[in-house]
Amino acid sequence: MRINFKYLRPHSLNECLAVLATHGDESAILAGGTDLMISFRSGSRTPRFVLDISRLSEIRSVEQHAEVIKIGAILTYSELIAHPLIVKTFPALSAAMSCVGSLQIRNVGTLGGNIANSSPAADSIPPMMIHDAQVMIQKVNSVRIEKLERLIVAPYSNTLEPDELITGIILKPVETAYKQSYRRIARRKSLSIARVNMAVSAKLDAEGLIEDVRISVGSVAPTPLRIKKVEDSLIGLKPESKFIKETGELVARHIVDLVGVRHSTEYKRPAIAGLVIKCLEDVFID
Amino acid sequence: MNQEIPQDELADLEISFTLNGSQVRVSIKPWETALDTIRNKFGLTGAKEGCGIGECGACTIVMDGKAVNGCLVLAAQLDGRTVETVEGLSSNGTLDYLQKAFLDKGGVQCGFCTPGMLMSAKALLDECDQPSKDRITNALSGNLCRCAGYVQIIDAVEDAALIKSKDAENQAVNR
Ligand SMILES: Cc1cc2nc3c(=O)[nH]c(=O)nc-3n(C[C@H](O)[C@H](O)[C@H](O)COP(=O)(O)OP(=O)(O)OC[C@H]3O[C@@H](n4cnc5c(N)ncnc54)[C@H](O)[C@@H]3O)c2cc1C
Ligand code: FES
Ligand code: FES
Repeated sequence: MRINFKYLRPHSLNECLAVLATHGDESAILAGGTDLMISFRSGSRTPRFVLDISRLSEIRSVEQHAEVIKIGAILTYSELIAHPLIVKTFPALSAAMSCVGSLQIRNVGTLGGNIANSSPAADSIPPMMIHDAQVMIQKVNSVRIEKLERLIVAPYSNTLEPDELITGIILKPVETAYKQSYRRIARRKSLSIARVNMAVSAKLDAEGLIEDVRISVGSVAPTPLRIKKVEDSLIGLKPESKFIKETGELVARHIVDLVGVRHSTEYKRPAIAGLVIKCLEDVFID
Repeated sequence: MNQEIPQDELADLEISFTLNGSQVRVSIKPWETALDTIRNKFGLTGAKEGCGIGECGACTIVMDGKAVNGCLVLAAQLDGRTVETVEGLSSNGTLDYLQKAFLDKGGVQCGFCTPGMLMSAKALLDECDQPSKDRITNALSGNLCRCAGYVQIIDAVEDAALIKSKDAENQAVNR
């Protein structure tokens, strides 16, 4: 690689935060390295220090709290997909994590890295958004908790400061009455970036009408996003097949309105509509 | 780049890890990849650099029981770990189940992808005796082959799993 740096492996979270406090702006945080190593190779990042956080035990566990589940930032996709509580509680997220790259990538890649990299096509982000994900961010002597939707502001760009570390992700489980789906369209199944990806979570009331529905879409706008306006307009409706088809069109139109017509619109518009239909069928029609 | 950095900051690092069963110590550059170290410092040239960006799997090695891309791991990250490469598969000149099955089933053509394929398959069989075809496909999905064909390779892994577990059964019976 056309780069040189000093490699540091802090032994504790506090030690790591202390290094970030003094050298954050000239450091690169290394978790799984699946994005970072590529940017070293291409020369797009040339830090003075590389801070290996992959062994920090403080941020490698799944914790169940009364209302939320907290996922340590450096747990790998493979560890999470093998975690019974995660698989049971977050089926859409688990499905999304199984789509990431290849087994070799999933064996080292992390959720913290996926968030910090802030790709519009990140697979894990839409399924975290349907759980109103919050990101726990620490620096020396302080913790801030930011909504995932607010943290990512533009393609590959977020509000993380150089002295800050993502330490965990806080997800709200939903009741068992919810059904979820995650789907993506990509050129092939493995090792390809999603062209459209989508997570849906929904619940019907006793009469079979929609009581709650959450739809999050990736790869179609500068950042992955929840489409709350459309979600709200669906409450109280009956999810029949005609409705599902119309909702597909509605979501596609809404997104085109939001991001404007681009060179990819002609392809993406029907792709979005088609994917919405499939996801809604997954959750509403068994 | 980084001219103002004091030279001692860029000093070599000493790391130690278990490589194919032996404890090793080696001096590395902080920015060296695990793949470079294994190939250049230990002369283990089975793992190949195909793409260098995580997309082909030719560099696959097994670290603490998991298949990883050697091109995406820093050598420094090997410190304290257990590493297996294709060179560790055979023992005393006897091929491993997987190596035999790859030969029997025509899973090798040019051989460029083979060390990576074998190591992905090795990690799988160490974790699971009788993997389903889906599980095998999933485990090999990060390994590209441009010539032998995936059908033969997947066949070979199934075959190796079968023969290995039969042998294990026989051994248990004979004991
Ligand atoms: C071949 C290949 C295929 C891929 N396929 C997919 C795919 O299908 N879907 C997908 O979504 N992604 C994919 N990716 C991208 C990548 O694997 C993911 O984004 C992964 O989650 C990154 O995690 P990591 O731990 O490897 O991050 P790293 O590479 O270690 O870090 C990524 C960035 O985040 C920063 N960072 C990491 N952890 C933290 C933290 N805790 N706090 C603050 N900053 C942090 C790093 O400094 C760096 O800027 C692929 C990558 C490759 C090489
Ligand atoms: S050389 Fe590492 S994946 Fe291609
Ligand atoms: S045998 Fe040639 S690439 Fe697989």
